[in-house]
Parts: sequence; C-alpha cells; structure tokens
Amino acid sequence: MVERRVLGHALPGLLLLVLAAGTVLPLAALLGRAFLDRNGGFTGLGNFVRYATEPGLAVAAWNSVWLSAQTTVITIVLAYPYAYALARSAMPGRAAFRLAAMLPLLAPSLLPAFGMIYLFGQQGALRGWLMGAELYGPVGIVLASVFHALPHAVLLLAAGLAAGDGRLYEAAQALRAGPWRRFMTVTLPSSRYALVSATSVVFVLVFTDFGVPTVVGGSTNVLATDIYKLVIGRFDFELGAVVGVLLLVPAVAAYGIDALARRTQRASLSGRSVPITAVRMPVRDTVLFLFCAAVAAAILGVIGMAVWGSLVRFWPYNLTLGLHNYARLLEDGDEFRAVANSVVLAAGTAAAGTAVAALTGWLVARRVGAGWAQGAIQAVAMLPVAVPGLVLGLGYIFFFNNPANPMHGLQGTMALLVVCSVAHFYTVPHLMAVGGLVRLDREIDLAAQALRAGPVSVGRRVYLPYLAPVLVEMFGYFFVNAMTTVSALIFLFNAQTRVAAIAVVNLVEGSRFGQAAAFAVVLMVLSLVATGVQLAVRAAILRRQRWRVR
Amino acid sequence: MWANQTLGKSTMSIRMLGRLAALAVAFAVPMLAAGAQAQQRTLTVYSSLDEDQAKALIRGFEAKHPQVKVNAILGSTAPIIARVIAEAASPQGDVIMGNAVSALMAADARGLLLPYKPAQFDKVSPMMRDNRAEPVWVGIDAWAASVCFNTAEAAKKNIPAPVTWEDLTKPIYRGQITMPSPLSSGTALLAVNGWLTAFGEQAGWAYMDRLHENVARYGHSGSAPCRQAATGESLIGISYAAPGVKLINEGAPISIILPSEGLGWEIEALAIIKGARNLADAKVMADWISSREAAEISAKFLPITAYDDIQSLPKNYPANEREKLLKMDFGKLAASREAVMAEWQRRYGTKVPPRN
Repeated sequence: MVERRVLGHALPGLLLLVLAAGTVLPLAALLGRAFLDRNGGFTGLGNFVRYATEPGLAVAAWNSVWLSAQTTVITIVLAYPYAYALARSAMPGRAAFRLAAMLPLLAPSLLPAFGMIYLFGQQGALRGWLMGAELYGPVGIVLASVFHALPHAVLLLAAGLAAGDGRLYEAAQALRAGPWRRFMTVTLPSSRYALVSATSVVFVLVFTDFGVPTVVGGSTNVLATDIYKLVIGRFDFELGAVVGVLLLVPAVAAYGIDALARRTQRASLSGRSVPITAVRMPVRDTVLFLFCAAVAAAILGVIGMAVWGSLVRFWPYNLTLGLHNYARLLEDGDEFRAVANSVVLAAGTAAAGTAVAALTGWLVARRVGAGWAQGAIQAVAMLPVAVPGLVLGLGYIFFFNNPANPMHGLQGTMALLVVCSVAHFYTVPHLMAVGGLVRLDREIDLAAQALRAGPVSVGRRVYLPYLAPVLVEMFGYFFVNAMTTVSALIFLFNAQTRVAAIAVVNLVEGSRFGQAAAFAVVLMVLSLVATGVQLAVRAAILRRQRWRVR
Repeated sequence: MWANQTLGKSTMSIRMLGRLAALAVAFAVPMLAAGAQAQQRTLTVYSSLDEDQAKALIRGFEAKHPQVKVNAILGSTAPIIARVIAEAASPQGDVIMGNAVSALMAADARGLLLPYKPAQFDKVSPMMRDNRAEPVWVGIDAWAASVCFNTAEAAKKNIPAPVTWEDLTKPIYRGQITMPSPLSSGTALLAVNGWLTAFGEQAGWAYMDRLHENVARYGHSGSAPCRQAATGESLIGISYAAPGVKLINEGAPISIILPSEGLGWEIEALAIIKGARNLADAKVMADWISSREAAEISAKFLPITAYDDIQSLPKNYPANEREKLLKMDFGKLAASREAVMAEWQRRYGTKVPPRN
C-alpha cells in the first residue's frame, strides 16, 4: 500500500529532516567547534583538555549536578501530588489551580526574579524565612529553579495521569485495596512513564539553564554560566562549544532512561478500558486542596510581589502606587510593534510546533514507520531541552547565515525566529504527545487494520480526537514560551523582528526596572488571556467528547 | 465506546482548531513579508550605547541624511560582538555604532572590521580615536569605573561613604560590596585594569586580594551592581556612572562616587563591519558620527565625548570624571586581556568569598 510505504519511511524521514534542520544541524555547526581551533583546524580533544585545565571546572560541574538534583527532587515531590489532584481528584477549583501552576511559564523570567528578590532579598519582606541563609547563591538557585521547572513537571505529569483505566480501580476496590494500596499498585505504576519523563526534563532543564544562576546565583558557578563567560565574556566559541557538549551529557542519559521507560510501560489503556471518573473522597480531596492551595499561594506570592513592584515608584524606597510605569511604556511606538511581533511569533510557533510535535509524538508512541526513524526522532526531540538558548541562537547563526546553506534566505526573517522557537521548546510538547498516546492499546491499531482503515484515517478518527485536549495544551505551551523567550532570539532578531521579551531585556539594561517590570506584566497578561482561551477550548472539547465519561 | 458518531463530532472541534491555526499562519505571513521587504536605502546598525542616546543619535543622523533609513539592533556590549563574530560568514550588520573598544578589538583581531578614516577624524580628540596607521574605530564617548553607594542603607547602618578605592577594603564594608566578574563583564575588566594601572601590577593584585575579602558576590553584568546598590540589595556596587545617573533620576537613594586614586576607563566607538552590504552609507554614518554635531547629541547623555572642548554635565552625573581618568595604555591592556582574566579566575573565581 502506498500509504504504508509513505508512513514507513517517507513521513518519518521527512520529519527527521525538518527536525534535523531545526536542531541537530545548527547545534552541530556550533558544537562542532569544540573539535576545531580558532582558525578552523581540527584539534581532536585539544579543547576538552584545555577546558579541563581551567580552574574551577570541578566546582562548577559539582554545583550543576548537585543543585539540579536537589531541584529535581523538590520539584517532582511538589508537582506529582499537584498534577494528581488536577487529573484525578474531585477537589474544587481545579481549573484555577491548573492556571496557577502555569503562571511561572507565562511570566518573562524577569518577573519571578524580581518577585524572589522582593520577597527574600536583602530588603525582602520574608527574608527571615531563609533562616539567615542568603538568597544569592545555592538557596536562590534552588528556589528560583523549582519555580521555573514546576509548570513543566505539572504539565507532563498531569498529561500522563489524565488517562487511565477505570477498570483497574474497580478491580482494586473489589479486592478491598485501600486508597493507599490502590495508589501504590495502580496509579503510580501507570504514571511511571510520565514520572520518568518529568524527572529527566526537570533535571536537564535546570542543568542547562543560565538565566536563574546569573540573576540569583551570586558567585556560585555552574556549568551553564561557564558557557556565558566563555562565549560572551571571552568570545571563545571553541571552549563554549566544549561546555555545550558537556551539557548534553545528562540529556543523553535522559534519552536512554526515557527509551527504557517507554519499552517497559505496558499499554495500560485497551479498547475495553473505562475512563477514570474522579471519585469524591472528602478526606483525600481536602488534603490535596490544601496542598495545591499552598503551592498556588507561593506561586501567586512571587508573581504578585513582582506585579506590585511594577506599580510602585521605586522599590523599596518609594512605595507610592501608580500606573506611571505603564504610562511611560506607551510613549514609545517601538514597544507596540514589539508586542505585535511577539504575538505573531507565539502564534506561529504554536501552530507549527503543535503540528510537528503531534506527528512525531504519534510516530514514536504508536511505533509507526521504520524502527530506526522512531529512535532517531525520539533522540532528536529530546535534544532541545538540553541546549541552552544561547547555544541554539549562535548555532542558528553559524548554520543559517552560511551563504552555502540553501535556507540562507531565512536569516533575518520572522520565520527563522519561529523555527528557532519551535526547536527550542520542542521536547516537552513532544513528550506530552507521546505520553498521551503511548498508553493506548495496540488493539486499536489492529482493529483498524481489520476494518481496513488506513493509518491516516485512524489518526484522524481515533488519535486526533483522543489527543485533542493534549494538543490544546501543547499549543498553549509553545505559545507562552515563545511569548517570553529571549536567550536564543537575542542573536537573531533585527529591527523588524524585535519581540517584546527582548524589549524587556533592553529596559533592564537601561536600568529602567519599573518599566521593565510593567512590560513583563503586560506580556504575562497576554499569555494569561491565551491560556484562558486554551483552558476554555480544552473544556469545550472534553464536554463534546462524551465517550470520555461513562 | 469508540462510537463513530461522537468521534465525528469531536473531529469538528479539531477542524476548528486547525482553522484557527491556519488563521494564525495567515496572519503571520504578511507580517513576515513586511519584515523581509527591503526599503530603498537602509543601514543596519548594531549598538550597545544607552538606548536613549542611540535613538537620539539615529534621529540626528536621519535628519541630516533623510535618504537613509536606519535599522537599529540594540543590545549589550558582548552579545553584539559575539553576534558579529558568529555572522562573519555573511555579515548582517553594516556598522557598529558604539561598542567598547576592547570588545571591538576582539572582532578586529579576527579581521571582521573594515579600516576607515572618517571625514572629521582629525578633529576628534586624539585620545578618542584609533591612532594606528589604518584606523578601525572612532570614539563616540567614554565611561569610567565608578562606585554606586546606597546612602539610605548607609544612614540606617551608620556607615560612612568611601572616598577612595582603598577605603573599600576597610572592614566596615565587609560583605557589602558587589561587583561584576571581569570574565563576563567589560566594566569589571576596566575597573581591574584601572587598579593595575593606578597601583601597579603587584600592588594592584594585592589590592584586589584585600577587596575580595569584602566582596559579597561577583555577578555577570556591568550595570547590575549599581542596580543592586540602588535597591538596597547591597550597599556598594562597583559599576559605572551611567546606570547610576538613570537610577537617581528614577528616585534611587544612591550617590555616585569617583574614587580619588583615579578611574579605569574605556571608549565606546564606531566601527564599520567588513563585508557591509551598505558600505557607502556606513561610511556616511562614520563621517557623521565623527562630527561635532553628533558629539553634541552624545554630550546630553555623558560628559566625555569625542570633542574635548564640548563641556557638559548631564543632570545628576558626577563632576570631574574626565579629570580622574587614569592614563591607560590600551594597546598593552588589550595584549594582556587573556592573562589578566586567567589570573583573576585563579585568584577569585574558584573560592567562595566570605559572607556576613
């Protein structure tokens, strides 16, 4: 069948090509320099040896591993019950809690940084809570990183927990398994894949992030800030590339773990599966509600402090409230164009990213097409989360700005910013799609085969509707991330494509805190509106899909 | 359970989603086209100058040369140069209008800048221009290492204001000082070079050893220490005057101190990018920036510009900056850049400074 041949090699091949152009090739263009000297001659591992002799490397590497591990444990411990409450409980206000967990994604990273400083800094209202420890250093890195990573973990875990087989719970109940036993023997095993992918994503995300350590890290060195120092401080792209390669190590490990988890995750949803209905369990729901309320309050507290900061004249010395910071933003026409550009970038990234990630997620989860292609696609999709935006942005210049590249024409266009943003944020939506589809029973494909329904029609009639709520979340994830991203685009924007998040950075550099905070709040509100629409669409889809409830 | 009918209904909403996505793309395409559309004569300018100053200079240039439309890309010193270096295969910018000379030298060392002697080069103050046989840069303004001091916190803690660099090593300032790391900030490097110049090589490092005892943390940005002092996150930030001036104008309770031993300093200059697509207009820009008219615009923002005789003191700017500039050998400093960074990293980069 032509369709099968297309699906076997052509489609996976094409997707692989697209993904490679967006991630592997630009990265290779930069990271390849790890093996070259400044004049482009091959030096083997010479740069690695040179980097190994840099003083402070061991400390930075240890800090990176240790702080990322601490952050990961704290994040998952907070995110799992939170996601469980969202997906499985009948507690009130689940939609509001879902939105609260998304907040750290919606705000440009500047806002939580301000919020943390206003709360825990030298002049912070809650400074005493740190019990004498200083914010600037390991404490700040872990606090801010948990904040930054939490939404990613909640999204991945909630997507994994949302689907389950109600029959298992019925059986467990019939066998008189208590709630705890049911959780340990049914819920936890069935969400193992989501747990593994959330853990590895959080670890890798924190390991490679340099935004948090540069703002609240004080003098604590981590590997990710080394890249910044080497490339930006010393223009030493070769050593910077070495660090970039080293930062990929946990991602490679994560890929291995992920592949293992996918293999051992048995499809727990079969054609006979019964959807889970949230059962009311007053004690559990109350506990979960209180827990979620505490987490949400912490998130709102941090963001709220930053919003408050945008409304005062000069924190902490002149706390007169007013809208002057917002008024001053209106003086500059460039800022309007920047907001319009941001919306275009976010919408383009979300549309293109969701389409591609849904396809790759489907191929990987349903084992469509040649095995080599599935493995390769999964590997490439896991890559971006491990790549600091700085590395991606410079890689894009080296790759797309090469006159020999047939895609050279993209340089300087909004389209390239869209491609870059899709690539930058690809891992989580891809994993959400995989997580959503991996547990559907193989029987569905077999039934489709028996009914002579081609894969495309199965995709359209089964997978797409089944995945629809997740697709909406993927769209939202791409949208809000593209709205606030800076690190890669800072090397790619020009006068026509300058986006709002870059304008915010410019304001900070110009020492205009108030206006920077105000602009960041405007961006957050736009993202909030988008997320509100997203939640409404998701709810509408769930209402229409009556087969999800019995 | 997987009844076709209900599935049919839900694919409707999927189609609607698809249409929404298509709509978004349809909205995006004209914007892309508009972005890609080239105008008759454009000039792409990279700049790390203060945003207000850069915009004022561009307005001045466009008023004088209305046939040229300037597309400005503003950013921090080092990312702009990193971008120029990365774009070497096919330069996207025409001219760098304002970047630290030390950073420009990194691009020059890679052969990425085009030597050009602007029309009014000879009228520019000799200390503000590239005096090599084939000049690559011409100065726009200069800035110097300064101390931002939070007077409100000092009054609360009853701590006196420092007057000299040496004062900063007194025990009373222990844990109260932030400064950028010279490994990631040009501002820090010029402060370090200033100390090595003012005190001499050996005494300079000995001074930094003592200062290190008082430093709470080393950051990555040259202006951040002043911002931290302004918001009370530290008492003292080793930084430069311009962000301090802005912060005072915003209402920050800080004073900008220019220590009496003298200041390490640096020039922000213009250079043409080799391979500029709009070379003719890049030269027009270079000619204009070296004019007195352009210097007068810059003088509204900073006291030290390309013309010595233009006297200005913008509001809240500390007086006598020019008089306190140290006599620095920029050629020698450029040559020792890597060595200074390595020595700094060896001494202070790996150990955690004391906090209390």
